[in-house]
This record gives sequence, structure tokens and C-alpha cells, in this order.
Amino acid sequence: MAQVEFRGLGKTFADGTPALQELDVTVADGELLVIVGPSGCGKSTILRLLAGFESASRGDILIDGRSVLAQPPQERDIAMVFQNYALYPHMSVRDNLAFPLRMAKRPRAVIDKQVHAVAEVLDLKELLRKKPSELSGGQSQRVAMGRALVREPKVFLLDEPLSNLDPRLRGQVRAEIAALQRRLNSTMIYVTHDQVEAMTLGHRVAVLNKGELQQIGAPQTLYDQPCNRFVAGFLGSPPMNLCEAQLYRHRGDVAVRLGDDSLAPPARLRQALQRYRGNTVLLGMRPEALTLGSGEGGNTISVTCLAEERLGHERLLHAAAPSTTVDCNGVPQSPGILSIRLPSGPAMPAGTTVSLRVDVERLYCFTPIGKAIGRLADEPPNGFETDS
Amino acid sequence: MIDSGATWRQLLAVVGLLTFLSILFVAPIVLILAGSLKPEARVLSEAGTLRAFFPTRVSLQNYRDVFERVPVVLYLFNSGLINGLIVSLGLIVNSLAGYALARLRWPGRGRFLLLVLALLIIPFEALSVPLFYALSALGLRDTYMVQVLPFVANPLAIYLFYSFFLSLPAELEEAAQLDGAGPLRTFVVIIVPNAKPAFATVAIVMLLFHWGMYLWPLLMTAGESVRPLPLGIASFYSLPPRQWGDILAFSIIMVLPVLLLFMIFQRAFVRGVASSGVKG
Repeated sequence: MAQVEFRGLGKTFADGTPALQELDVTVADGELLVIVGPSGCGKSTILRLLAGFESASRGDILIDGRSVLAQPPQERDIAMVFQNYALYPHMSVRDNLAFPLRMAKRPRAVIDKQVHAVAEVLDLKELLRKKPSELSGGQSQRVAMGRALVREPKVFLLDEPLSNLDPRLRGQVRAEIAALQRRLNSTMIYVTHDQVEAMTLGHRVAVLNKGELQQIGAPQTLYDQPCNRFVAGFLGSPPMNLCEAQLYRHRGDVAVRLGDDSLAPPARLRQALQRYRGNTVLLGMRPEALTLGSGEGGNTISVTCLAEERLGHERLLHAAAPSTTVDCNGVPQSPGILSIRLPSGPAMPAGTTVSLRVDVERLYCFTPIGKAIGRLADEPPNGFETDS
Repeated sequence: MIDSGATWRQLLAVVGLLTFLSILFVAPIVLILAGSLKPEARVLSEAGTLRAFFPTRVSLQNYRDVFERVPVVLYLFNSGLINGLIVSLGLIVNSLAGYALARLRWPGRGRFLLLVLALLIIPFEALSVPLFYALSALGLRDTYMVQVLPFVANPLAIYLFYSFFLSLPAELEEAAQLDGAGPLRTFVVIIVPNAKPAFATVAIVMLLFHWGMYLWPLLMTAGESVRPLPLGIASFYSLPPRQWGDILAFSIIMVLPVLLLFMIFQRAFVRGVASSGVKG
């Protein structure tokens, strides 16, 4: 197991396309870091740079304090689980598992013992004679994990390992990976575009956009204290509602006008919002920060229902937003829709006007360029920090 | 699904056309086989009739004659050796070249690929005279090597391998690299076993190209000792007395090995395609 350090790491492709800006992150020994972001944000490039499949344009990568940039992939002692598993089609499961050990010229008895041990852990004993073409998606995934585990590498890389599985299996395998990581206490870097995987698996989550690290921290910290519009809008399902709102002077203080309604900002934001009085800002509201009914102090908004998704234990209400809404990239949405997470209840036909109480303590404000205003706390220094 | 008269008629038309084409292609071979099994007197007398396709009295005399009159075994050995070397060396050289073009990064790769493609359209006859001078100057005339060397590297084979390797997922090689295999080992242990269809195809193509090779051995060899079957049959043709039954028997001897090999390779080819679960 090992510590991985990215120091000012950058990559620009030969055609001039920037893939990764300066990345400065340290992954602690035994940590599971999830890198999350939309397609093309550079997250797989980080893995490929670390594995040695791509050469870095700038910066350095250190494993246990030693630069590995000059080493070919086979000398870096890294194992990787690929998105399509990349099992060797002509070899049985046993041979797939034994391949890394054979390459390392381990004695036959050791190979047999380790293959057996990994097969035991991952419940692969029944599959050892089968070829990859005879395996289901979940089984292939386990074999790919097994091949990575078998030679006990310093670092595990997982490149969207669950994206080829059906949603039901995905949850199960996610739990298995988390349990395995805890048991082995291994350093893992896990890349995904699925924010649910990021939130549930990572000790820390790094959010990446357009090759630039947006924020890194414990999943709940990122969810509760996003540093910018992108992180706020990317994490969470459905994502945070981002509506344009005006700040105005109200009885010597500052208030927020959202459409025709007024909201009193929480005490933690008031000081910071004074600077932006008279300006338009982006107001962020999580779908669960809105509830049915009118609240005290006028912190309510009126919206018209557009559609309702009933999920059994809860329902998602989609309503016409009182002002222009934008997505995590700041692109205006047309039509602007407000998502509200509500407990299950009587049906709400389209066209109904409802009052929603806004939990103002859970309001977020972002500048027009998307920077969070008055965050609770700045990010902890770049170190290993978990919720547990 | 066949469920109407119209579909039946369509099917009948297709089967009829395919049967006609099959007869067209198979008829000459049947004619040669039937002729080779007939006594000499009947070969020409029955040539214009339908009986030309059926051996009315089976005799192996023509085959005996051929083996007595010319060193067929030597010709067979020469052809087998020359083609065996061309195909086996060709598979190694061309697959490595195709792999280097498809996967390795090196300066001038794109231009080299263009050059390979351009070579596809140059007929061998155009190259034979300069090659004749070059290889004669090296003192290689009248050898097996001179009949092998110019044909080992083959642009069509390189291109076939190149296209196949491009279709293999790159992650297979990357996984092997991380598992500790160097580039050559990755090629031998991971790529080659998954490229059986490409190897079978190239082997068939190269063998068919060179088994009937005539001009080059004629230019480069003088004595019988290193000459292949096509030159043997040519000299046999001009050897008096000209016996058509013997010539037909020699033709069958020449066709048979490549036909057998083709059938074996074809099976390997189908098996290769069926078992190449490169999807992962």
C-alpha cells in the first residue's frame, strides 16, 4: 500500500487540447479517493497518467515519495480495473488471475495459493475453469477485481468499473468494493461520472471539470459546502436548483427576491451578501430544502406544478421556476424547472399552484461567475479526511 | 421465414443461380479429375461429350506415369518448403509490422502506412526485373532463398493484420502491461492468441498467391533441384510424348495439397472467428 502524490500534474494532448490543468492532490495510504466529473473532464487522463499509458506534459507523480514518471507501466506496481474489464478472452478465469503472478515469475505453488485465496474472497471458485465469454457482467467484474488484487499492488485504479452493470447489480458491487477496500486497507483511486458512486464510496471525493480540480473533500462536506456552482449542481440527484435572484435592501438588511417572492437569507450569509446588494446572484436550493406549506417570516414561494414522479416512498415534483434557472455549467435552462423532493402524498395535477416553504438555513448563494458566497468553512488542507 | 408462394419462387431462383455458379466453378476441376483417371485414349475422344465429366473406366495409370517420368516428389517438396517458409516467415514479419503500425507510436508511422497501401497496387511483374538484378548480384540464383525472400514481407498481409489489430481493444494490451508483460511478450501471449482469424486469413491469402508462382522461379532458377511444381508441370507439358491424361494427373497432384490445406485453414478460420470473444 502506498501514498500517491500528484504535484502540479498537467497534460496537453499533441493537438493542443488541454486535458488536465495543474493537479495537486495527495492520496493517503489506505485511502479511497473518488474522482468524479462529466465525460471529458480529464478524470480518466489522471488514471492513465498514473498507470503510465500517457506521458505527463507538466508536473510529477510520486508513489511513496518517489517519482514514477520515468518508469514504464509494468514497473509502477499498479493494478487497474478497466471499464470493459479487459479480461484475456483466450484464458480461463484461473489463467486470468494467475497471469500477473506468472509475469512476476512467482513459484507455481505460490501462484496456486494466491489464486485460490483471491477466488475464495471474491467467490470465484466455481468459475475458475470458465472463459470470460461464459461469464455474466457481474462475474466478469469480480474476475477483473481479482486479477487486480492477486499480486497485492501498491495502488489500485478503478476506471468506471460499474458502468457496464445493470443498476440493481451496481448497488451490490458498490457495497462489495467498499467492504473489500476496508478489509484490505488499500490505496484506491476510483474514477466515475456517477455522483451516487462518488458519494457512497469515497473517503474523499475530487470533483473535476474541464481538466480542472473544482473541490476535494469528504463527500458530505462537498454536498453541504460546495465551493462553486459546478460542484453544487453536479453532486446530488436531482441536482441543486440554481435560480437567478436579486439582492435588495430591506429594513437596513439584505433580502433576496426570487420571482415575486421574498426570502430572508440565513444569518451565516448576511454579512457576505451585503457586498452584492443590488446585484443578481444565483440562489441554490437543494430539492429537499423545499417543503409544502407556508412558512414563518414569509419565506415561501408560489410555484405551478408541471409534473410529478412518484417513487413509492417519496415523490419528485417538477414545478415552473419563479425565475431563470441555470445548470451546473451556468447554461440557462428553458423552461426553468424547480425540482422538489416530497414525501409521498395525494396526487398533484399539473397546473396546480402550490406554496413551498423554503428552509433558508439551507440556502446557497453564488456569484454570477459561480463562486460560492459566504461558505461555512474553507476546505480543510489537502489531507486524508473522512466522515467516519 | 418462408410463408408464401412468392418467397418460395425467390428462394428457388436464388438456389438455381447459386447451383449454376457452383457448377461453373467446379466443372473444370471435375473435368481434370475425371480426365486424370481415364485411359489416355479416352481423354481426348470423350472430351467434347458429357462423358468428359465422368471417368467411364477408372485407372491410376496416368498417376503412375507421372511419378515415373518426372521427379514429382522433388517438385512437391520444393513447393512445400518454399511456400511453408513464405507463409511461416510471412506470418511473423507481417504480423509484427501490422502491430507496430496499429499500436506503437513512432515518427513516420502515418507515411509508412501510406507507403504500404501504395505498394498494394504495384504488380510484382513490374518489380521482377530490378529484383532479378539485385538478387543475382547477391549470388542467390538457383536457391530456395531467392524464391522465399522477396515474398515474406507482403503489403496486403501487413494491411490485413493492421486492420485486425486496430479492432482489438487497446485495454487488453494495457492490462497486460500493468500485469508486468513487456511489448513483445504482450504481443506473443495476448495479441497472437486473439488474432487467430487474422493469422488464418493471411496464411490462406499468402499460400494462394504463391503456390502457383511461375514467372519468378523461371527467372531465378535453372536446374530442377530447387524448382517448384508450376515449373515442373510446364516442363512436363513440353516433354514428348504429350499425354493429356498424364498432364491432367499432374494438375491434380499440384492442386490437391493446397486444396487440403485450404480446407484445414478454413476450419481454423471459422473456429477462430467463433471463439474470438474479444469483447472481454
